[in-house]
Amino acid sequence: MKSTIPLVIGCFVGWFAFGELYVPHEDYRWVFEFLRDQAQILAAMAFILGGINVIQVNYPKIRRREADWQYKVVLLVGAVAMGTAGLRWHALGGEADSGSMAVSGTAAVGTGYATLAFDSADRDALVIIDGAPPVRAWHSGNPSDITKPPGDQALSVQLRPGEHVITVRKPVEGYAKHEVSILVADNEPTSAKYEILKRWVELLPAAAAVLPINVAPGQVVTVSTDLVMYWGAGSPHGRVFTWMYDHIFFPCNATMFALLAFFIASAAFRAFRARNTESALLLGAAILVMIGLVPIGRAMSPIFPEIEEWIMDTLNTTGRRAIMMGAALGAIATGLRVILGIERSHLGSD
Amino acid sequence: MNARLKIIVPIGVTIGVAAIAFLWRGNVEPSRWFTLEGPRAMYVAIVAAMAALLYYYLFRARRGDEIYIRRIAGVDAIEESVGRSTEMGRPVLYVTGVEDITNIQTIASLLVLGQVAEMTAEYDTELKVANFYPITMVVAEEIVKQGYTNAGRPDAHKPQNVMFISSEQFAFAAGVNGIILRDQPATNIYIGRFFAESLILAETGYLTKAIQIAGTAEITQLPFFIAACDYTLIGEEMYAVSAYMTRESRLLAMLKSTDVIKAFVIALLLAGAVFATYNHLAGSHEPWDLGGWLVGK
Repeated sequence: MKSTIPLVIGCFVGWFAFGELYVPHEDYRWVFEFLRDQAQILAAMAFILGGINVIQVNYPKIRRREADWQYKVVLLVGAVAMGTAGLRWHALGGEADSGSMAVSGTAAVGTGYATLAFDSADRDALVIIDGAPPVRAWHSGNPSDITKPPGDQALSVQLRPGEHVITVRKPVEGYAKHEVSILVADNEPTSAKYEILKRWVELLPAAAAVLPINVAPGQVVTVSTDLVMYWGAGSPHGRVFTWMYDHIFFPCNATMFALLAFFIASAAFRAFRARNTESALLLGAAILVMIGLVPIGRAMSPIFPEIEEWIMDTLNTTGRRAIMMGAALGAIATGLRVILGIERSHLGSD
Repeated sequence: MNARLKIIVPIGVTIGVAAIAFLWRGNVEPSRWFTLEGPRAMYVAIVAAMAALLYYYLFRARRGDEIYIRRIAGVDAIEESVGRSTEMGRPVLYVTGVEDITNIQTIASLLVLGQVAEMTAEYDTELKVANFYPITMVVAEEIVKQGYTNAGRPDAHKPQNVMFISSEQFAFAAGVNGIILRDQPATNIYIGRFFAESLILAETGYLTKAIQIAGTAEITQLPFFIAACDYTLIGEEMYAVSAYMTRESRLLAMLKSTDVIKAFVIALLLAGAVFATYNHLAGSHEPWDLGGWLVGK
């Protein structure tokens, strides 16, 4: 019974998945998607077991001071640090504080351009107006030069009539980003209408990003932002997580990948030693392909690129396709073996 | 039902399904509940034909006929290398690839792992299993435990030897390299789907003078394994390991049925080459379209 039930479930789910190709009905697909979601949930839950396994395997080695135990300390500390940075601390206990953007305006005066003023709490905030290159919200004379540190002068720009999209963000990822749409009208809005709009913006700062804010020419619109730092992994990534990923994990990853170049050289050296007929053929083909690909080969004779092309397109492709077809049939057979219950080595005995 | 009917009926039914699916290709109006559009009919025909052949070879195997399978050096080497590990008193390292358990190569790898676990249990050799995904680790642990139980040595199974390393490609490579350099396994078995980390693992294993057996259907990684490992199971050979090692009649029958389908595919390829040559030479306005005929265009 211990192995029969998994066998029956495997058989049923396997044929059900096969049927997905032939039954386009939405109900069938719904069940299929449901099963896929369950599989994903199961896989996600398994990560908890994976974490426990990492501790079970490495902690006893640290305690017993086994060979290279120091690396295991780094592993566990790194895992805990990354896990801690990966939690969305800012969202714990309720909705995350995503900062605010307040828009206020003086009484309308004159016509023509409106003035957009910034009063950001974040000294290093960048402002993007209508997709243009970012400028500093606080600058020391030249807001376009974002390579210089922030200054004491607040940014103030003139907006021509029409709709403008204003984005305020930090120079680095991991912080809240605010976007607001401002419509500079040709005609002046009534003060009553403007007051309602202002109150609405203050009450729902997040929603202000969606609908354009009507501004009359001559008005001064002040944008105040508070770009809070995010935590955690996900969308968007938190600052600490992003920093650890970019400055610790990514260089380590690139280092490992870079090792591949040296390993290829050493493996190629061994593979291309002409020990027998097959190795000699391999060596000959490799030399011809290499000569055909480098500029000096082309310079020596136009026949080399043609030989290289023939080896790659005819001989190599033929071999690749043969392997792929064989592997595809093997994959079908393995799938059938599991679905039909012919293969039972992975199941326990009754 | 007599013995002859027991074999004729299932084979007849499956051949019938294959024939109907093939004759219906392109002629069934797609509905909400059923469609045979495109190559779907061919898929049914292939699977049904494979099932019919399976029944046929099972019948032959049960009758006592010998089912011949060519020698696969890489699989023979698994037992030899486990024996070598035992003699040297060093562990066997098994890597299940870097794909999730939903990938057929990972499934094939886990099926082989069961056999390897049984073998290491019989030889009383330590087996270490490195996994890329936790879900693979959970399944691998059950399989290894079952392998040890099948060998009559459940007490020898060490759960901590089935490890989750990392789900990041190069972190996984670094972790497995660490195991190879620290524990110095006498045998490294890499079976499953691999990407750029394949050569990093295999070259590190070469430095420790371990016997290395690799198996993958990943075309781009095969040259690396062939260059750096002692034995490489290429594509379909990886899927045949389980049958080859157990010599179980049901698995051998499945292997033979795959071989027959392969022969059919080769015949189709030759026919396709003849058709393409004819079309090229004749320059016909209505070329012979073998692919279109097969899928019912």
